[in-house]
Amino acid sequence: MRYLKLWMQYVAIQLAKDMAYKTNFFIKVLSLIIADVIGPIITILLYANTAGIPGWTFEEFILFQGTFILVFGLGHLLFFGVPFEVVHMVREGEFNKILIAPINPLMNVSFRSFDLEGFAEVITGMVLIMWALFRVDFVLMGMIAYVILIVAAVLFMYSVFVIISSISFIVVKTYALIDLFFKTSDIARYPASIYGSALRFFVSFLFPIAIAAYYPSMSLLRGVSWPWMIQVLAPVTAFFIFALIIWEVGMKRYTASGG
Amino acid sequence: MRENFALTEAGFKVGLIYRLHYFASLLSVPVSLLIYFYLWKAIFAYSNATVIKGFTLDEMVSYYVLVMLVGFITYSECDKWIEESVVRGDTIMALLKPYRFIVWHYFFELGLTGLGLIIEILPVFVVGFFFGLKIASIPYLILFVISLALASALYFLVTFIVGLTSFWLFKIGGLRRVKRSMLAFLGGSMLPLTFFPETVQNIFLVLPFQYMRYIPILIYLEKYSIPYSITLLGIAATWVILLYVLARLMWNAAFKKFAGAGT
Repeated sequence: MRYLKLWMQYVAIQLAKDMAYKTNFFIKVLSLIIADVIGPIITILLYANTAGIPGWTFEEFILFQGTFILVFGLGHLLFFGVPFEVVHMVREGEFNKILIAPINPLMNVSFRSFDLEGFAEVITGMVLIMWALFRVDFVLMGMIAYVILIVAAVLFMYSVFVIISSISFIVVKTYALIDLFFKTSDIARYPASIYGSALRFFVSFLFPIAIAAYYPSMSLLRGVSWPWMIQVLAPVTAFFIFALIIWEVGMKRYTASGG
Repeated sequence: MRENFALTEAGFKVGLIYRLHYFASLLSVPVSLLIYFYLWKAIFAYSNATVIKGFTLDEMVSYYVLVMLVGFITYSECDKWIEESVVRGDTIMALLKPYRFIVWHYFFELGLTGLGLIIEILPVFVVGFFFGLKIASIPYLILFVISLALASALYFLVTFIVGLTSFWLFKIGGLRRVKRSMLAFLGGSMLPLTFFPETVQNIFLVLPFQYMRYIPILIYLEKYSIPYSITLLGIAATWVILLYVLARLMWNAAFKKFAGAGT
């Protein structure tokens, strides 16, 4: 409850900040929608001129794209700002305040990184998903798995951003790592089934970004089984635990060096 | 001219500070190419076609190598520099300098790009050849270089104009993002423009966008006859002049606005 109240406070502050440059804020929101709508337009052009992506009808691939946009929108809304916040605070020495506050430091930093713009992407993604859901055959049980896997996808991306933030305690310049994350996650913009086995292994187990759109869409369209769910969720859980450990290590480094 | 190249040198040095960023974008080259390679391989196989919209699979992969190459060469973010100086309020420093504002930014950018050329272009070519990029014949290579010069001028001018809007809007992060995604989409960075309907393609012919990416790429791939290529370069050059005039007009207005506000 206390956490919810705090979160609301930070959202209010963020809103006030955004309203300081209203025009820019609205153009920013518009720009996100434009950038996200380009993907489906390309899909239309692609399917109009070719047979499309093997095994995926036009409507199914729109569902896939919508899922990708929704998941990244949620990340944008909730925590893409965390490494920037941490870098800023470590550099300015503000991180001490976080340590003194009677709130879990990771939660505190995450709350501060709320970014209202992400809503634009969340809504764009949802619109695409809704549009597609009326036009594809989906498995009802898959719906539950779909929601679970989207939560897992958000959790996985959160883990990545927590790891990057933890590295910021040691080397301050981590923007390159964020760039690298987004470039690598471009692999997940298309179904993992089109890739060679090495790349497929990479996005499924080593860096399970395929969960951003491929696995949720697969569960919805092709059905699920318990072993499959476990196989998909295990790498994500491992990543999350790893992230929490690294975060603790990073924080210890900060306390030790920052005094 | 010597003074101008001092700016280029400054840009080069500033670029060095961000070298980590260059390396990150370098790593992304093979990743992006791998994605496009597999994507188009799958689509070509699934469509059971050897040529789609005028491209073979090899040409399609080369197309994306060239998208990156042209992208690196024509890169400009002077809008970011202008925005920063307007928001921080140190535009006055730029005005005190004995340069025209646009010239200052152009030569500064040249240094930044110069560094990018050294760090990025060579690896892209190496990776590109690995993905089957062929070297164009001499006449087309010459036309390609000319088209690149025009493309980078166009890209710079559009970016500069977007940057000037910060005199009115202050923060322009959103507008810069609109610029980036629109130029990428309409310039053909994501999909060859032949995938668009015929009428849309004809409209693109008279708009400046395709001359920033698509036309240089297609010239390199020897898709146009030499006379037609020269005609296209003529249209591109006309746009350079038009956008330069627009940029100067906007700068005059921005300067008045700046002086008027007295900040």
